Amino acid sequence: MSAPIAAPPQRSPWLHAWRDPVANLKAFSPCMRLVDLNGDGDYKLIVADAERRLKVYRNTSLISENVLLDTPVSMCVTYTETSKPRVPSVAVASGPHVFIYRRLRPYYKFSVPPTPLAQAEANVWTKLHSGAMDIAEAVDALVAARDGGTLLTTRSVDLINTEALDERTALVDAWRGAPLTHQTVITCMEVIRKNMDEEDALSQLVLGTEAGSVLVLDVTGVTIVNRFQLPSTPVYLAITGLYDVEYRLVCACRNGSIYTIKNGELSGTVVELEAQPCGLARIDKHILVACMGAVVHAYHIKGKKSHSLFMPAPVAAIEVLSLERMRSVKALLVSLHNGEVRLYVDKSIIATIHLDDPAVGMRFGAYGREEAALAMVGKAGTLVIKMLQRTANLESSGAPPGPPPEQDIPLAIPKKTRLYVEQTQREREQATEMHRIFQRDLCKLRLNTARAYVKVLTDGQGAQSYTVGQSVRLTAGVQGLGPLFKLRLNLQNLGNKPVVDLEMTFSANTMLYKLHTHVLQLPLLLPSVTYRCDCDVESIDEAGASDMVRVYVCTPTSKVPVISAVVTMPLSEVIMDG
Amino acid sequence: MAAMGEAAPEVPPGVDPLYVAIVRFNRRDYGATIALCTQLLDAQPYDQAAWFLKTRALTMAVWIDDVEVDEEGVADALLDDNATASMPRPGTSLARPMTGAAAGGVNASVRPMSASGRPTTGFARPGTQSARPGTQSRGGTAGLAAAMGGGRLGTASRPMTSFGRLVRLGTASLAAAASGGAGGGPFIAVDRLDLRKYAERPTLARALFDYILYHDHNPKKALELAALATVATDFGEWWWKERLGKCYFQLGLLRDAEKQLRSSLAAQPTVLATLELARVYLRLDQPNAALDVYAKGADAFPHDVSLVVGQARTCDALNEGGRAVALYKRALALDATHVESLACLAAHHFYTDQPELALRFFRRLLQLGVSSTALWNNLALSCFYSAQYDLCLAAFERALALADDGEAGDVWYNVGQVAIGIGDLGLAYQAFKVAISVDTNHVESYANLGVLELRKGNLDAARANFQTVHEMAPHMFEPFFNGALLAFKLGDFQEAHDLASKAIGAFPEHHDSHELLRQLRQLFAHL
Repeated sequence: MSAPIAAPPQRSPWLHAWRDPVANLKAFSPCMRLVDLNGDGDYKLIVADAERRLKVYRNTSLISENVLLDTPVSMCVTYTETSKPRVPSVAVASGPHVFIYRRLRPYYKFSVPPTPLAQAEANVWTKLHSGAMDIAEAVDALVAARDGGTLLTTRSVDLINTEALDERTALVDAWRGAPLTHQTVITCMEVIRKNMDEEDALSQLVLGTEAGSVLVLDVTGVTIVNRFQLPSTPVYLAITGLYDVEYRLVCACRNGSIYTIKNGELSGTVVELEAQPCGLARIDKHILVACMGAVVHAYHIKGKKSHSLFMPAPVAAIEVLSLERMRSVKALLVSLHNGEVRLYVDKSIIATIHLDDPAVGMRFGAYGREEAALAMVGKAGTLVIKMLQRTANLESSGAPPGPPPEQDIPLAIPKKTRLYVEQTQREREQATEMHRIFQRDLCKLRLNTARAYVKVLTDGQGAQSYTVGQSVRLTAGVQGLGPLFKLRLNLQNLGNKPVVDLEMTFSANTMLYKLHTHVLQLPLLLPSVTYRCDCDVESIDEAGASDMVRVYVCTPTSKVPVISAVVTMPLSEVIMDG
Repeated sequence: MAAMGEAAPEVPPGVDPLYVAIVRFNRRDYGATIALCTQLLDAQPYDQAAWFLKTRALTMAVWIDDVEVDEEGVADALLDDNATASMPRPGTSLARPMTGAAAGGVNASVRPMSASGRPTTGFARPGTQSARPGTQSRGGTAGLAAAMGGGRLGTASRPMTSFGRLVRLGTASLAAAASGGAGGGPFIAVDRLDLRKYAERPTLARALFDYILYHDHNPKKALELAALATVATDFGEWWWKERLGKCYFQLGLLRDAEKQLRSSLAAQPTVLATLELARVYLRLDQPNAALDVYAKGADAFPHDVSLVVGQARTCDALNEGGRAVALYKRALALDATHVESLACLAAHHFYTDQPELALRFFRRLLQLGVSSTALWNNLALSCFYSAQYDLCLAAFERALALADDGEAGDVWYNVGQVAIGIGDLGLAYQAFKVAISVDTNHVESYANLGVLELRKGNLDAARANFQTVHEMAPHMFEPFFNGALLAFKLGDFQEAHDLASKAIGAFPEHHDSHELLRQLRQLFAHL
């Protein structure tokens, strides 16, 4: 087993524990938990795999694998009873349901109640099925309703997104008779402890749904005890406090805003992010939110921004490292798409792990009998477990961030040579003379250049024409080893008017080359479209000698070609006998 | 080269005509030698001395130093079945020049890159301008097209196979050689010879071998003779092993060539065998092995320039500029008139912000009698950048006067460059236009013209120019970056992102492109 750690500058606080490169896991952070499954102090890793498997890892082996009914979105561990030993329930959210497992056996299912239908939408569907409204009108009405702020059912969304009329008709027919319901789905799930701040205290599930509501269930997970409506769909939840005492639900939503629910009320402080959130964590009084664009922002719980951590690559996952028993440390783990996993205490980076496979899911907690372990699931399915050294120094260095020391090392700029000094001397002494000669030569050069330029303009030489008010460009290339070659010619009209009536002719030494085409009638050249024409050229010289092929583009109105190109043919490969 | 079929010179009475022929041969008057020997052979067909001399003369008349001019043909490179690794380790392959230890040494923004992804050399050698197919990230057909295209698109001057080129060199001399034989046929009909018989006569065999290889360009037959001759000498003759190696190399049997040359070197270290062995390794894309061979050879022959220059060239190809410069300096210490070393050192100083030193080297070249468009052009640029303005434009004038169609584009481009330097954008514009008209595929001119059009406010023209360069020269990062910047300013962020990414691909350390990409990513992520 090879440790994928590159030697860091200082001693890494991480110990490599285990790596399974072929674990083939597909899970993000919400679907991974480290939990004492049997209440015996032996912590296990459970992963709700996107391939509908509930996998349990103990030490370095997979000890059980259960089939899930649907693709999981999130998984949580709750304690629903006060009996000993403390055996938790595992809640797996998928679709609109939460499946609760006890001792890894299905135990109970909670379904999110359907959202009440919008009246406008219900009317449209009634009319559509009764034939009072045709499909096009119905779609218009639904679009109007959507734009008006109504949250549509999946059925309406499907109908709007279907393009062809016959497909739409088929959809409408298929749904005829089935009642219209608005079933929302769960997007995120967390737990909140009821009245005791201990790990195995009674806890309740908190669900976020696609319809933008946050539901708090009771301890048994049967009834909804509280319901909040957010302006947008929550995608990440971060929870602190006790439900019966004082609590705060921080919800990062899909519209890029972070809302806070405090003690049963939606608080007025809203954090508006610059980019979509892709991870949410809470450390003490700070909300840490990872955004698209490789940055982690830290906000005070009251909504004031504290600082930002800029990353070299986009953030894949974030997780809180929290040690409570031995010493009290809280730090932030950030996994990046370039394979780094960084550990931050406050604003300073403490350590970096380099992984071959960027971690998309991370959980920090107890594993086995180790109190501080980090389980990571990679993008390619790798499972890596690291342990935090007990003696690891997690204090931020406190060195003031400033320019790196390299900045003070001067660059190796070559010294000015003695020759240079002599030349500058000369320049100083003979400045007038030099200036005079230079100006004279410059005049001559300007004249020469102007002459050459005028020649280019008037005789149609060259790859770009200006002659007849048209601007056409010709580029030519040769393909082939010989004796058969292909001339590839690209024509582009650089003007802003189409060009018509152009012909292309070829001329070459007939002793050396046989041209398969002599005249090409060019199509209408539209502005800035590249046209390609080919011409086959055969070398007929026995020794494979090479020459030039001239290409002219002509118009009937002028005897000067619009453009010409000279193609230097390569030496032809001779066909050898035997 | 001596004219063939010329009349035999008068032989003074009482002097042995063979003696005259030998003297003429020593004076390199091969035509006269051949004519004299023909006369002798007409009189006495079995005169071995005359036969030998004529063979030598015919060989020498068309002899070329094939160690120097070797260029890997397109087909050789494309159909290379000796390749060992498709993704060789950094710094071990000529196909991945920017990966060596000194990869960061030369900055593409300071020294322009050739299509093969290396900094331009100071001396145009075979293979320095064009890309080796299959290099860099351009895969498949793009690499193929680039390789076929030669140095510049549309100026495909690259041979398809190096052997085919040798044959072609041969065919040029064949017609002339026909007159060397008595009845209009070739002097020696190799196919009808009993090589076994010749193999046993060491002197004749060597002359015959060289004739077959250099005059007839028939390595297969030459190989046969060499094989028989080594057997006849009990595998002990280093000369034959070296020639066997040469034959195998020409036939593309590189591993066999390596074996023979190594064996020859073990028997007798020679400069020629060393050079050829190194060439075999270069063809096998094992530059480090070639450097070892050169270094060993240089230890044995410390005063030989070609071994030092060979090392320098290989270092250049591996993009280890610092090492190459030291070696060129050593070569110059050995041979103060070594043109290639002078040119390379000049280029090095020019691109390391010491144009006054470059000017010295170019002037030295001029004193050596080199007078080419490229030299005058470089002289002009060095003058301009070292502030010797009075000499600059006159040198350009000379360069323009000397330039043929192939080079005039470059000179006009440089005129444009100087015009930009003095702020005369009108002149620059005209010069670039002329450069493009002379050389249709002068990508650098298109790139600069694009920027000038942009300054004039002709956005479409600018974009069209940039696009042209993107297609023709995917190895240049500036047009990609300029295109990206233009697209960014016009609000076409997707296009800007694509182009900036390509600029990074061409020049991974380009800071401005990274900065642009960073801004773009932020914009993409924003709500």
